[in-house]
Amino acid sequence: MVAWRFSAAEAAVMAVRQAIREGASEAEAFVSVERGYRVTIMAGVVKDLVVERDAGVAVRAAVGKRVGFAYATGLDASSIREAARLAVRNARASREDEWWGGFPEPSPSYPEPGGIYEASLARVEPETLVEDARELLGFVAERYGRRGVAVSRASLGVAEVERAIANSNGVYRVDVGTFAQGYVALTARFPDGRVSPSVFEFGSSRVSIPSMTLLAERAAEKVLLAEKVASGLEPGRYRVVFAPEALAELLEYTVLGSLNGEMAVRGRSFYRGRVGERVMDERLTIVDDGVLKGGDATWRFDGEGVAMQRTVLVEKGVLRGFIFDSYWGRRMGVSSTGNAVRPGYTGRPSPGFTNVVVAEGDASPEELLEGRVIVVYSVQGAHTANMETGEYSVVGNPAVLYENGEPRGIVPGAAVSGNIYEELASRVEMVGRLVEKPYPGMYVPWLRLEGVHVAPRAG
Amino acid sequence: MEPRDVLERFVAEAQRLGVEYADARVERRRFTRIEVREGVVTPSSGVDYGVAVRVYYRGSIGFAYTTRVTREAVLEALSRAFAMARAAGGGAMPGPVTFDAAEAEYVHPVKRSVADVPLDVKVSDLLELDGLLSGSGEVKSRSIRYYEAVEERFFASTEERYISETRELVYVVASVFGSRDGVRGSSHLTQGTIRGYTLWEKMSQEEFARKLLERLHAQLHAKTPKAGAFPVVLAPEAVGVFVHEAFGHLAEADLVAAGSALKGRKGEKVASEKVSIVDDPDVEDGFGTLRYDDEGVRTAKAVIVENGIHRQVMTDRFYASLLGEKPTGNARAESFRYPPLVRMRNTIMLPGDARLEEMLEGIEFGYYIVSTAGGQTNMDGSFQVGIGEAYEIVRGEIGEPVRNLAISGNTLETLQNIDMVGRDFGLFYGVCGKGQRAFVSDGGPHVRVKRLTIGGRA
Repeated sequence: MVAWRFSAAEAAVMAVRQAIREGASEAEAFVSVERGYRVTIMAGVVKDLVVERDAGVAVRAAVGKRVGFAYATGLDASSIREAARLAVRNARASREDEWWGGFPEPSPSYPEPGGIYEASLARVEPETLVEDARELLGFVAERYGRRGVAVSRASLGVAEVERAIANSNGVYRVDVGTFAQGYVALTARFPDGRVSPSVFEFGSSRVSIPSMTLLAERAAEKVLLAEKVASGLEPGRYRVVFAPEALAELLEYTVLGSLNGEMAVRGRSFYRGRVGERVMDERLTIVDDGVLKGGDATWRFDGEGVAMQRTVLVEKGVLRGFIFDSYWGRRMGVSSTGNAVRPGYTGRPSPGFTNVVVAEGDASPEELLEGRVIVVYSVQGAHTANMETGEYSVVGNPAVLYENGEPRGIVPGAAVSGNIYEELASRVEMVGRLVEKPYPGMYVPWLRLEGVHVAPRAG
Repeated sequence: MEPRDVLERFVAEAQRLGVEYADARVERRRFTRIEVREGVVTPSSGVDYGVAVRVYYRGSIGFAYTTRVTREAVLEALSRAFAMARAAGGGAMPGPVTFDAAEAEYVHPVKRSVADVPLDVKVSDLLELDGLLSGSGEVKSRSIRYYEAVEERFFASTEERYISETRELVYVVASVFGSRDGVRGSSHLTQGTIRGYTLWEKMSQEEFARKLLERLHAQLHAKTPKAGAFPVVLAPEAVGVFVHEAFGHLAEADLVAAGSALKGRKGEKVASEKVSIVDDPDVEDGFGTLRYDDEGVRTAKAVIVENGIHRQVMTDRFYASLLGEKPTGNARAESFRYPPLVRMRNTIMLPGDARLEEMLEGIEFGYYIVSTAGGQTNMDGSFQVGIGEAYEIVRGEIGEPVRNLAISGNTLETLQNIDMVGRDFGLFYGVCGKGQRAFVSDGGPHVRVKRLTIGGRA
C-alpha cells in the first residue's frame, strides 16, 4: 500500500471522533484509497499512461436531525480535521429533517462473496498494460485494417481499492478489492467514404485483465455490419431484438430508476405501490446482487457499512421490492438492502444498484434472429427516456436488419421509440439464453420484442 | 507549502531529468453543494486539492497525480510519470506544440464572492425557490441542486511558463415532476454564472419557478407528436444543445483524428451558408470562459464553421501538433485526477437576421422545440436530442404542446438544411461528459430546419 500518513481505518475512526468533538451528535466517515495504472489509446495511438494515487476522507455528521456532508483529499491530520469540521458546519447550516433516524448499526453478519481481490492484479506493472495496448493496435491493423477498421479509442486500467467505514454506532469495517476494466471503440471508413458508427465493447474483471483483442473482435463484428446499408425501410412497427448493451442502457434510465426505493418513496417510480403485482412478462427476473462472486460492484459492505446482499426485485414478472439505503428504507418502513452507493469519497451515499442481473431466458441466438427483425446493438440518447412513464425515443446505432438470420445491412439513423414498461409487460417474444455483461455491473440477456416503432432517418 | 514553490521545484527537477516536455497543475477547488429534495436540505462541501504531473518522453505521455501537495510528493509523482513514459519504450505520439516562457496571473472578477455569503443565506435562498415550487398543485415531486466552487489553478511547464487562474462558478439545476389525469410529466431548468453569488440577480426565484411551472403545465397538457420528418424551428436553448452535442464533439481534434464525420472536411461546405459556429473562450459570463487552458495555453476562439465552410477544429497541444492545426487552448481536465482532453468551452451558433415570425410563416405543419433533455452523438455524425418543451406549429402559428419526443438525424445534413437563422441570442449553462465532466456553455439564435426526423410514437 501507499505510505499515507494514516491507514484508511485509522483515518475513518479519527474523522468520526473529530466530528463528535466539533459538536456532532453522531458521525460517520468513509475513506477510500486507490492505486492503479491506466493506459488510453486515442486515434490509434497510445496516448496517456496514467498512474493513479487517490485518497480521501468523507464525513457525514448529524447535529440532532440536521445532517451535513463534507470531504477532503488526502489522509493527513489536517484534511481529516477539515472534512470533519466542514461536515459539522454544514449540518448546523442545514434544516431539520423529520425523517432522519441516525446512522446504521453494525449488521449482524457480513458476507464473504469471494473473487473480489487478486494479489497478482494488484501487482500488475504498467508495462503489461502498454503491451496489451500495443497488441490491440497490431491486431486490429493486421486483421481488419484492409476493411477500413481502426481503433478510435481504447482504455485499459487496473486498480486496487481499499475502503474503510466507521460510525459512532460502532460500525467499523475495512475491505479491499481489485479491478481491471477496459474498452475498445472501433470505427470504419468504408471505400464509398461512409463512416461507420463507433462501436464500444467493454470488458471487466475483479481478478484478471480482460483480453483487448477479444473485445476488438466483438466490436469489429458489429462495425463491419455497417458495410451494407438496408435502405428503403418505411417507418412502422417491427420485431426488434435489443442486444444486451442496448437493453442495459434503456433499463438503466427507466426500469432501474423505478426500482430505486428513493423514487418509490418520492412517488416518481412507475412501480410505486405495486409490490406483489405482475409488472413484466413472466420470463423476466431482475436481481440486484451485491454479493455476486467476482461481481464488478461486489463488496462486503455498502457505502454506509451495511452488509451487502442479494435482493430479488422482479421475480418471474412479479414486483418483489426496491433497493434501499438506510435513510430511504426507513422512510418506506423497511430495512436497508445494502444499496448505499458512493462515488468514492467525493460523494455521500444514496440508493444505487450494485450488480444488476437480468436472468437468462431460453431462446437461442438463431431463434432470436428468425424471420425479419431489426437488431439494435446500442442506442443513442437512452438518458432522455422518461423514467416515470417509460416513454423513450432513441436512435439505434448500429441497428441492423436481419432476414432469416442473415444481416441485410445497417438501418441508418433508426429512431426507435415506445414505452419500455408496456413493452416489457406485453410485447416480449423471446428472452435469450446468453447473458452478457455489456458494461461493468450489468448482466443482461438478449431480448426480442414485437411491435416496436422504428423510423429510419428521413432521406 | 505554496503552489508556486512546489511548481518551481518541479520544473527544475524535470529539466534536470532531460525530458522533452513536462507540465504540472496544482488545483484547489473549494466547493459547496446544497441539495433540496422535497424540501429536505442536504449541504455538502469539500476541498479538492491535488497536483497532476505530465511528462512527454520519446513519443509517450506519462501522467501521475497525488492528493498530497508537498515538494516530496510532487517529485515522487514526477518520477512515476517519467517511469510511465519510459515504460512505453518509445511511442507514436508526436511532441506537443510549445510556447515561450511566461508569467501570468488572472482572477476572474466577481460582483460578490461566494466565500462572502454565509451558507445559511444560500440555504434560505434555495428554500425560497422550493417554497414557490411546492405551492403548485400540479407538482408531486421536486428537486433543486446547487453547486458552487472557487477554482484555483496553477500551471507550470518546462518551458518555464508559470500561470495561475482563479474563478468562481455557481450552477443550479431545478426539476419538478407532476401528474394530472394519469399523465405524468417533468420539467427542468438550469442557470449559472462565473460572477460570484449573483444567480438570483440573473434570474429571481419567482422567474425561475414561473418558467419551471409553465413548462410542467405544458407537459401535463401535451399530446404525443407524430413520428416522421417535419420542418422544425429550434429555440436558442435547443440550438445550444445541438451545436454542442450533435456538432461540437465532431470538431474536437482528438475525435477528428479518430475519424469523426468532420475528418478531412476542412475548407469544405459542411453547413448552409447561413451557419457560423464558434467555440469562444471570451463570451461574457460563460461556463467556458477561460484565460488559459489546462495546458497553460492562452485560449483563442475556434472558428469551426464560417458561413457554412469548415475552418478550424478545437485542439490541445498534442493534437494541434499531430494534425498541424492552430493551438486553440481547448485542453481541459475535470480535476487534477485526469490528464486534459480536448473539450469545448462556449460553443455557439452566431446570430443571423431572421425574426421568429418569419421562420414560422410558411410552415403548414411542423414543430417548435424550446428545450431539451440532453443528447448524444456518434462519430458517424448521427445524433439524438431528447426534447423537454415543444409545440406544434400549425399554419404559421405556435400551437399545442407536445411531449416525449426526440429529434434525430445526421448532423451535417441537418446543418445543410438550416434555411433561416434568427437575430436573437441566448446562452445556457451545463455540464458535458466525455469520460470527464466539464462545465460548458452553449447557445445561439432561433433557427429553422427544413426537415428533421421526429421520433415520436406512431
